[in-house]
Amino acid sequence: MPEKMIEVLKIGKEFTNNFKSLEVLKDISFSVNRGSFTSIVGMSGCGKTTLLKIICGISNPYSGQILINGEAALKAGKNHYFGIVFQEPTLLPWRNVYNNIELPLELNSCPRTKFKTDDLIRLVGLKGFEDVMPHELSAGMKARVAIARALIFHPSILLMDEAFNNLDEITRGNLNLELLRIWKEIKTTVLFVTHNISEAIFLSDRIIVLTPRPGTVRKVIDVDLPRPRDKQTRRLPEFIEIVENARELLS
Amino acid sequence: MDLKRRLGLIKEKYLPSLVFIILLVLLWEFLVRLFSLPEYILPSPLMIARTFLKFRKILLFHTSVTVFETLSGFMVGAILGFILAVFICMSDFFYRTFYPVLIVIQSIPKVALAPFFIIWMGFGILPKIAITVLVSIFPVLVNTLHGLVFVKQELIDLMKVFHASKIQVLFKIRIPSSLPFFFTSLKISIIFSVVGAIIGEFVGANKGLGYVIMISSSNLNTSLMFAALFLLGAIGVFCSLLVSLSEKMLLPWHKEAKDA
Ligand SMILES: Nc1ncnc2c1ncn2[C@@H]1O[C@H](COP(=O)(O)OP(=O)(O)OP(=O)(O)O)[C@@H](O)[C@H]1O
Ligand SMILES: [Mg+2]
Repeated sequence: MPEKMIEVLKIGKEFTNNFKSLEVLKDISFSVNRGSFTSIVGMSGCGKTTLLKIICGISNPYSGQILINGEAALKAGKNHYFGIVFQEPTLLPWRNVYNNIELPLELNSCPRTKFKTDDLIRLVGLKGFEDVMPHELSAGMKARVAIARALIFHPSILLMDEAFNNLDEITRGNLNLELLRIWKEIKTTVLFVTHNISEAIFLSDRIIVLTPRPGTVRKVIDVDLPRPRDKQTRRLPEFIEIVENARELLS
Repeated sequence: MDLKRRLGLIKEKYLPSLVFIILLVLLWEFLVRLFSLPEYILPSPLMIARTFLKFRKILLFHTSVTVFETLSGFMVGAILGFILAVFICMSDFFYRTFYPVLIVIQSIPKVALAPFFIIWMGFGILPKIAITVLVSIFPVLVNTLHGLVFVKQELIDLMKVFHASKIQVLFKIRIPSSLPFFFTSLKISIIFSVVGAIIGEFVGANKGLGYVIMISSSNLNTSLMFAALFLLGAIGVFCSLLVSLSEKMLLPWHKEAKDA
């Protein structure tokens, strides 16, 4: 198996409508190692969501190439390499937690490795909330449901788009810890988009810093903080130093 | 919620308007007596009530005719409107072709076609139902179509990631998301239907509340006319409640999402 799970090669993207064209991504190249945790940070509007959509094959056309597990991306999509958590939780309001998580199962009749829904519910800490409807959930719990739904097919790549953005500081910190626990448990490759630099550094092995639109790679930061990481990690001098450096890069 | 609190809430919600209506009726009675208006100009509420009791059997019969025309036309219109909307949303081409046409048709007052229906279908119940179908179909069609087409992009993206088919997107995303729009349009359509049935009866009929209103006005029997008018109002309120109630029962997720 190739060591590189995702290879992004010279990706460019333009949106054209009403005779105007907007260059959103320009000449983006980076790679993501199998089983690693990588974050993408960049200013609002620099094309992070667009990049994730290109990687999982739902934003066409684009220039450049995406290799997943060494194969061209189109084929990879069909094999369910991807789980995705969108910027909004996008739960179906007419389905309870359990049925929201199971939605992907209903869409694909062909057999493939999948989690038992109950195990997944336990994994994301939603035990006892199976029958609850989305409008009765807190934002944090909605994020958990969205994560569980993304994981149902045991994806080899989990894409997360600012999944914790609407959360308060404390819930966010807790979910960061839980995400690391889940990641360790299911051993998947994570590509995580965020605005929040310290969140990115806390979670990741590697951080891709994008420039404002059109997004290009400004810098790739390798984070060598020890794992497992916990609440103490944020207090380490190394952690604080990396955060400071990254802040400067972005401003 | 326990019953007592519920009743309390209802009281709080409806009491002011109830009091207002009662005051209005009293004022009406008072003014009619003060100026001693003759019955054919404006009957007092008491006279209307008396007429109502006197003719209650006949009025009940005509009410049932109008209710039947209204509800049967409304149901056919709603079902047809919904099915057509689903068909149109399935194809970009259909959508681009029909949507502008529908918007234009919707702004034409279709009740004006009532005389034609009488010519085509005679004086029976059928032309009234046809008019009712015609007036109720468009609000349902246009609103439901809107709900079917303008679905949150993220939901569509989600379905794409899982390689959902067009049919799956339709049944799992589009139709459920359109249901709140559908029910909103039903509330408009049901009122249109009552109007449609009445206009049909005005143009040519031998039964129904519209017929009663025509006959009593030509006899200057204003009390009877008002009694029929109030029944008409009651039909409207009753039908609207029916729609609201079924919405509450069928779409609990939507109602509560609004309340929150
Ligand atoms: N479907 C689309 N059609 C046209 N323009 C689009 C489309 N999607 C995104 N854009 C534009 O592309 C740019 C990048 O959008 P994108 O959503 O990828 O940014 P982002 O980095 O995710 O921002 P944020 O952090 O605010 O979520 C924006 O200027 C947006 O207006
Ligand atoms: Mg975004």
